[in-house]
Amino acid sequence: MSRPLDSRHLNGGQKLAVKYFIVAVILFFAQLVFGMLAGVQYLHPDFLHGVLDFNVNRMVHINAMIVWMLYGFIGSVYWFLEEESGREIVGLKLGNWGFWVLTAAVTVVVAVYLLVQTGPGNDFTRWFINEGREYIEAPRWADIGIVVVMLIFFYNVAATFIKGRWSGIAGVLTLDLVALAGLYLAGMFYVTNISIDQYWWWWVIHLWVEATWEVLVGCIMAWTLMHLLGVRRKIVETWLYIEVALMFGSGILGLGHHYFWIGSPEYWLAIGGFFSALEPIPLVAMVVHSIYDSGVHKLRNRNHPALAWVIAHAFGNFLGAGVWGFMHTLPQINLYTHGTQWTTSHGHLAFYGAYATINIAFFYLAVQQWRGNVWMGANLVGAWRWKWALTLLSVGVMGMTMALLIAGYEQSFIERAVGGSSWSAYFAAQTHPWFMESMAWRMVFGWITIAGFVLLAWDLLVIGKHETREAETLVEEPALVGG
Amino acid sequence: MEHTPFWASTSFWKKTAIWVTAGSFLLLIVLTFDTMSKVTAGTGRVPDYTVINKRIDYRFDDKKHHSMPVIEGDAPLFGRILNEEEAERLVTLGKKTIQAKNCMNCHTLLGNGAYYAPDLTKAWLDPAWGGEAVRPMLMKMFLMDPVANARTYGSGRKMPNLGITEQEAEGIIAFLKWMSAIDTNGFPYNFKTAGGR
Amino acid sequence: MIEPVALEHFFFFFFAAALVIFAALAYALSYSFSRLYRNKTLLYVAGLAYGVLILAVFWLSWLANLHGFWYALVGMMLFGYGVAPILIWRLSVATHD
Ligand code: HEC
Ligand code: HEM
Ligand code: HEM
Ligand SMILES: [Fe+2]
Repeated sequence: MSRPLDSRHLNGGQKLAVKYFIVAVILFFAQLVFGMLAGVQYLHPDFLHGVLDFNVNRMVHINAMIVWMLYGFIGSVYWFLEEESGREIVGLKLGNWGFWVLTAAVTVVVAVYLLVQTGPGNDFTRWFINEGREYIEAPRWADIGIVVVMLIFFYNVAATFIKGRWSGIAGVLTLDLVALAGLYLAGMFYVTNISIDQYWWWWVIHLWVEATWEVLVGCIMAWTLMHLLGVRRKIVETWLYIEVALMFGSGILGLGHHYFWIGSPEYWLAIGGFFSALEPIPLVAMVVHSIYDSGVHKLRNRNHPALAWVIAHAFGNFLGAGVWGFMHTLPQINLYTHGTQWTTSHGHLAFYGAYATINIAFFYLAVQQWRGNVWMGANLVGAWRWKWALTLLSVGVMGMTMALLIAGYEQSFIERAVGGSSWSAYFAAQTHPWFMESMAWRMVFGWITIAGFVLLAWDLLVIGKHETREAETLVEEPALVGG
Repeated sequence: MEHTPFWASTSFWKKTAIWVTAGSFLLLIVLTFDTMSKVTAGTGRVPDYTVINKRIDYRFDDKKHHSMPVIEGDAPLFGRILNEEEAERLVTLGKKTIQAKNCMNCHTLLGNGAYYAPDLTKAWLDPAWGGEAVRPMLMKMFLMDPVANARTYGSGRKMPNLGITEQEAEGIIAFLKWMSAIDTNGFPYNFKTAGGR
Repeated sequence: MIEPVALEHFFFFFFAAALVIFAALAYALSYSFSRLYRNKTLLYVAGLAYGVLILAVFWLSWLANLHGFWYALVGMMLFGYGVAPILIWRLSVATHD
């Protein structure tokens, strides 16, 4: 007997969420493939030279990442919107239409990246081919399209909460989405002055990943904890506010750690150093609170893979953002590490640890429901698959991070501190045996990451298929009653 | 639940979250206004675009304890002295070309971007380009055909031909020259120019 | 404004920085578990971890030449990483009953 994935188990928002999740997983794969292509070029610079150059591969790699994670977040919000608001989604048809428009736009943008790649140095190129600014390369027409679809998404969320039940999570989520979308506008204009360009560019990048995305994840986690573990709503909401206070209190001015060397005034050295050194505190706070939670409540966990990924998120966020971030955030050291493989080392672990993990956790919550609330607790049939997927992905990314850390250490030492960052010093560091070996190890761990992904995708397709048991339902949950 | 002290209540933390966020954001806005007034071209830290008519160097400043751009004497780019408007137009062409060709997914500018190729913050001053007299010409040749003019220092890592026109190349060089005169608080550290100490 | 890390201190700086955050984690973990299990020994472990944290912060401040204004950062880190676990624990208890 097998149990199919059946959309009859889903409400309207969840049907839409599933579409977002499917595209997210496909883009995750694209991210890895183009990361590998870019990685190979460090070792074999002639590989696809002049055909698919490093800059193209890298752009697709990091754009696919940003887009799949946003798809995952949007999907997660659609997923819980009806249950959280207690009513059907307002304007769901429009939301569906937005999904198709956004997906079509993403497809066209990527096709143009790969086939046209670059253009002459005029405004047309920036509007229709490539904006040439890391992470937000999407041409201007697509920016506008993205903003329109975000407005639709925002309308769905705000209108549904307003007409349904307005909870604490609803309030934080709605305001956070306003901030998240508003920040995108800061990346949508042209300036010649590179100092001003970089100033606003970091508003988008830093205030996304170290402020608004963290809070968005906080909202998703709040809902998840109520539904996965049955934690009471009042508690979850108080903690969401605490998290907002700590994250925004350190993260907003922590932005200063990107303003050390871009032409901005010297006081940013002090502000950036001070506030970003406090950024790990909220992450430590989360650890304390989760120990309390796990110890004091008799928590029933109805979805083992999801909880395992939530734990991976807690650790990954702490390591990638907290430890790796702190190690290079003081200007006294950032002077040397700024813009080296050190940065990449931190970037990989932080994005994976903080955001890939939590999205994957949510995918597992979704497939559980999609298969008709199937059992995902102890002795799940075929549980080896999710366990190995988690292990291989984490070992892969951690391995790449360590390889890049060694390369970054060597680079900041030889190129930056000793060689003074000249053209020849750059290559002196790039051809050093430590560096080359690190690049080779990065590829080895890249393959491990890919193997983990393959298992993950396979598992998401089949988990629970041959399971006959239903998940135990959370009995009489005060969590589900409005607060 | 009635015993929850005020400092653990939902409403207390809701207010705290709002005040902390609003306070930090307000401070950021104030700092942003101040920073904008100090990084606008021609206000000190970031030079006017006509700096491309001048000789630029980057030297250790004993008072500041780090290297600073030094602007001294005339050194017109491509033999022409440009007025303010012409200079800005040329640098703008350079910046737009740099975006259009997606240079920042191989290179870093001001240390931001990708790490596959050298940092371009002080590229104009890189000793590998030789003296001021040959520099613009060598850079132009390189940008228009980086494969034929590759150096790679034994790495085999070549910059691809990006179809850069002569005009675009001049714009890029003007942009790089202007950027090299930005006061970056001593980044890159220990960078030695061809002429400097 | 800043005096960059000296070449010979490079390696140790990264080591000390990682140690600061890991000591903060060890302190937070042992403190919370000592409360959870009402275990005195673990409380001593927490004290020890905080001791390591203090040493690591001072080592870091020496390696990174943190003087003048930067003393404020040293103080803030010692204070912030020190009280956060205690306050968060109290908050956990108070919000849950
Ligand atoms: C596919 C990656 C790639 C792209 C895209 C790219 N470069 Fe390069 N660039 C390189 C590499 C690799 C080198 C080193 C070449 C060598 O040593 O022969 C280089 C070298 C340079 C140099 C000389 C280094 C120095 O320190 O002075 C300059 C200047 C330069 N590039 C400018 C640009 C500009 C401007 C653009 C965009 C129009 C650009 N590059 C786009 C890879 C790239
Ligand atoms: C989940 C949270 C975080 C994510 C996803 C993240 C990700 C990244 C990424 C991708 C970059 C490189 C940006 C680029 O391409 O130029 C970066 C840079 C940086 N991050 Fe983070 N980060 C996070 C949290 C933190 C924290 C908490 C700190 C400090 C304690 C920190 C410190 C830094 C610094 C100093 C840089 C600049 C590196 C340089 O000078 O080149 N980050 N981060
Ligand atoms: C198959 C495994 C992967 C490989 C081989 C790979 C390779 C690369 C390469 C070569 C770069 C360019 C770095 C540079 O400019 O020198 C890069 C950048 C980046 N990758 Fe990956 N990657 C992989 C997986 C991932 C994963 C899983 C994530 C996160 C979820 C990720 C996030 C990033 C980020 C954020 C950057 C930009 C970093 C920065 O600017 O500092 N990558 N990757
Ligand atoms: Fe940041």
